[in-house]
Amino acid sequence: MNIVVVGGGMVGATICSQLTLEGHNITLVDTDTSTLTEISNSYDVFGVSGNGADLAVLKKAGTEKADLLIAVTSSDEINILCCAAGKKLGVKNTIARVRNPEYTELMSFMRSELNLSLTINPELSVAKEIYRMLRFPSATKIDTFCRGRVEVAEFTVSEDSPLCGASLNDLRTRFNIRFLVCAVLRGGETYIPKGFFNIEAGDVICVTAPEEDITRFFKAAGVYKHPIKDVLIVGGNRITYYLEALLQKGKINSTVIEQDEQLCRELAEEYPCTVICNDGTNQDVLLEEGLAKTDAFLALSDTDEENAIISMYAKTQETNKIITLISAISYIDLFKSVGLESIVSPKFSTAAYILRYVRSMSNVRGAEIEALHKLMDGKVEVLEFRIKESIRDFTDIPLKEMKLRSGVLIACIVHKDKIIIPSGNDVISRGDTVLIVTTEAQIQEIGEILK
Amino acid sequence: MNYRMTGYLLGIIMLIEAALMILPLTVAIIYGESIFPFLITIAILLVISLPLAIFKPKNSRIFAKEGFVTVAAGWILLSAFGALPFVISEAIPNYIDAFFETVSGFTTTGASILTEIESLPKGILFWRSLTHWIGGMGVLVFILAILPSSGGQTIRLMRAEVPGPTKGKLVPKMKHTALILYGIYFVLTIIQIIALLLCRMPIYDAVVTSFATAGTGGFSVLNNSIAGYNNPAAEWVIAIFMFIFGVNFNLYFFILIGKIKDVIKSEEFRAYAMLCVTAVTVIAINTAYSFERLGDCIRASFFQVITIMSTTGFATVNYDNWPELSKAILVLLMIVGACAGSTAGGLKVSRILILFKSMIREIRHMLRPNSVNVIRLDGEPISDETSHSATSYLSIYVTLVALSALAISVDGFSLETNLTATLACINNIGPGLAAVGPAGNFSGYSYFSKIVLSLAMLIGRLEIMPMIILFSPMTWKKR
Repeated sequence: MNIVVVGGGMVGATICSQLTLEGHNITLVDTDTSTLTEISNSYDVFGVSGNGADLAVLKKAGTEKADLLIAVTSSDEINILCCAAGKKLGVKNTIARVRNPEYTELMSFMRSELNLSLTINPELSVAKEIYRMLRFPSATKIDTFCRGRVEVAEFTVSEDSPLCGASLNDLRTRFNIRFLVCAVLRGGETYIPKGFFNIEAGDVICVTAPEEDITRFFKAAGVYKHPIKDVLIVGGNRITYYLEALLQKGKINSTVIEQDEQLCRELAEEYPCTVICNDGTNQDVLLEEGLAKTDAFLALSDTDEENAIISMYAKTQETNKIITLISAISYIDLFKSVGLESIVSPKFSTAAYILRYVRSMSNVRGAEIEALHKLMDGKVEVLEFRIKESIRDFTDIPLKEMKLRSGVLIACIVHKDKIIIPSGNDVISRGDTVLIVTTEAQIQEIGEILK
Repeated sequence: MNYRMTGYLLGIIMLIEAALMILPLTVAIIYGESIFPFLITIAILLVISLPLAIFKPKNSRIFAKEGFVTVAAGWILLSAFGALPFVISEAIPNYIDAFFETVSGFTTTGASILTEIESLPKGILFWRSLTHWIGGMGVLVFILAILPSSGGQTIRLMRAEVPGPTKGKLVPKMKHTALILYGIYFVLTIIQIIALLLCRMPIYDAVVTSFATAGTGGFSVLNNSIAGYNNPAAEWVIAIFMFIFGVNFNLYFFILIGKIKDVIKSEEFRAYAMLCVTAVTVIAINTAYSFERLGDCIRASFFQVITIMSTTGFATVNYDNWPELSKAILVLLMIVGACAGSTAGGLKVSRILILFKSMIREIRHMLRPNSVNVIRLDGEPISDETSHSATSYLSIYVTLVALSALAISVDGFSLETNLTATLACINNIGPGLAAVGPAGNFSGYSYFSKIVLSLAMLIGRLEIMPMIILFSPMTWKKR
C-alpha cells in the first residue's frame, strides 16, 4: 500500500519502522530536513520536506495516489487540516492524531464532515490500557478480544507459583478451568508451547481464557491480586486526565501528585479526586500519600527517568501493583530486566493501533481482522479474525488435520456465542471468530497461517 | 564496524560478478573460443564468495561507515577478480596491466593499455565492454534492485555509489528506485543497440559499443575506436546516446510519470545542454579549416565535445592535433563532466552550478556584508550543507589531481601528458592529450603509475569519499 505519513516525531518514526517492515511504500512529510534525513537513513522511506497541510507538499508526496494518509505532527490543528486537504486530493483513508481533550466532542463531527477515517489519541488509548491493567491487577498486561468476552493475559511465573514445574497437560487436568497457555517467553525467545511443555519460574506466559474464567485461573495459579480500590498517581498530564474519567466511572479512589499548579487546578476542577501539589519524586511525599498502603502506584510523569526511578522505589516499598509510563521504546527491555513489569507507552500503543487499521485495510479475502494486539514487547501478536466465508483447508475440518505453520496457534474459537478453547477435534466454520497467536510471521490474511 | 554484514555484502558482490561472467562465457562459446579463463575465474569467485554470502548475519545493521567501506572494498574486489580472465587468457599477461584495464572498465573510464585490440578473443573483449555497463549504474544499486529489501539502512550503500551532490530516491522503496533506474538504463541500451543495427553495424560491435556508451565508458573493439567503422550515421547515433546517458536519470523517470515540466525546469539539464551547444559552436568554428564539408565539421565537433563531456572517451578524430583553443575547451569540459545521477564522471554540472552560485554569493556578501543570500537550484533553496560539501569536494578534488599528477611525473612524460592523464582517469574519461591522446594510450606508464592511476579512477567513480574512508586509519579504530 502507498502510505503518506505526515510528521516525523517519535510516533511518526515508530509508524515508519513498523509499516516498512510490513512492506508498505511510505512517504514521510516533515518540515525539518534533518529529521527526514535521519529517518530515511534508518528506514526505507521517501522523504518530502515541507508543511503537511500545504497542498503543493501533499501533491509532491504523491497523496493523490496514496491509499492512506496518517497525520501525526505535534499539532492537532495541522493534523486535522492535513487530513481534510488529503481527502480533497483523493486519498481514500485518513488518520489524524488529535490529543486535545477539548476536541474530543468534535470527533464525530470530524468523522462525518471532514471524512476522517480514524482519529487517534495516544494519551486516551494509554489511559484505557492502564485502566484495563487496573481491572485485572494479576496480569502485567491484559487485552480483550471478541467484544470483551475473551481475555489474553500476560504475567511472569514466580518461584512460589503452583504452575512451576508443571506441564501444561497436568495443569489442564488439575485446574478444570477453560484456559490455554498460548505463548511463553524464556530467555529472550518466544515459544508456542505443546502439551508436555514444563513451566519454570521466571517464564513470562500468555494465557487465553473466557472472561468469566480468567479470575478463577489467576486464583488457581496463585497470582491473584485483590481488585484495586485506590491508586496513587504521580504526574497530572493528559493521560491522568483521561484516566481519571475512567477511574471515576469504575469507582476507584485516586490521589494525584503533580507539581504544576495549573495542571493541579484543572484536574481538581474536573474530577472529585484528591490532588496534591507537590514534588512526586520526593520519597517523603510519596510515603506521606500512602505509597506502601495503596493498591496500585502509577508513575505517569513526563520524564521516563523519573518514572523509572520512582517505580523502582515503589518496588522496594512492596507496592502491590506498579505501572510505569515509558516513552522511549528502546529502553523498555532494560526496565523490564530490573523488575518493572507493567510498562505502558503511548507511542507503542499508537503504532499498534495504526498497524491494526492498516492490516485490516489491506486484507479482505475471506476473513477480516477485528483486532490486533502485541504482547511480550511486540514479540507475540494476537489477531482476531472474523471468518466471513468458507476457506479451503481451513474451515470445516478438525484442527488436528489442519496444516498450520510453525509459530502459529489457534487460541480460541467463538462459535455462535459459545467460547471454545480448542482441542484437536474442534472445527472452525463460517461466521466464527477465531483468535490466532503468532510468534514469527506477520499475518496479513487468514490464509497465511497455513503451511 | 559490523564486519560480518560487510563480509556478507562483499560476498554477494562477488557472487554477482561470477553470475555476470556467464555472459562473456556464452559469447566465447558462440565464437568457439576457450572458455577456461571465465570458468576458472567463476570457480575462484564461488569458492571465496559462497562461505561469506550463504548465511545472512543476524545483526544486519549498517551505518554510514560500513556503507562507504563496503562500496569501496567491493569495487576493488570486483576489479581484482575481474582482471583474472585477461591474465588467464594471456590477452594481458601482466596482472597489474590487467588490473588497470579492469578498473578502467568498471569505473567507465575507458583508458586502455592495449595497443592491439582487434586480434583479442571476442569473449574477452565482450567482458571488457560489459564491465562498463555494470560499472555505469553501479553494482550495489544492482544488488539493491534484485535482493529482497532488507531494512532501510541500505540507502547508505546507494548514497556511497550514486554520483552527485544531492541523492535521493524516486519512490518510497529503495528496491523499486533501483529497479526503475536499472530499467531505464536497460531500455535505453537496447534502443541504442537497435539504432546501431539500423546503421548497419555488425551485431557484436553494436552490443559492445552500446555497453560502452551506456556506461559512458569508452572501450572500443577497434584499434582506431569509433573512427574505425567509418560510419557517419553510427557516429551520430553514438554521439546522441552519449548525450542521453549524460543526463540525470531522474529526468527520464519524470518523463515516464508525465512530469515533463520538471524536466524543463531542471537547471542542471539546461546548463548541460547550453554548455554542450556553446562548446560545439566554438570548436566547430575553430576547427573549420581542417574539414572539407560543414556536416563533417559539426559531427566531429559534436562527437568530441560530448565524448569528453559525458566522460565516455570514444574518438572519431585525433583532437590532439586541433588548435590550442579547442584543446583548452576540451580540458575544461573534462573537469565539468555531465549531470549528477547519470552514468558519467567529472565534477558534475550541478556541482559546478552550486560552486558558481556560491562564488556570486560570496561577492555579494563582500559588497553588502549584512545581506542574507540564498542559493537556489531548480528554484528551490539549497542548504548551506550542500554548498559547503560542494566546495570541500572541489578542494579535495584539486588536491588529489595535483598529488596524482605529481606521483606519475616520475615516469618522465611531459606535463601536458601527466596532467591530462590524471584528469582523464579521475574524471573517468579515458584518453587525455599528447602521449595519452586519442591516438596514444597508457601502456607507456610504469607499474607504479598504473596503480596510482587505477586508484585515481576508483576515487573518481565513487566520488572520492568512499575510497578515502576505506584507507583512512580513523575508520579502523575500535571506536
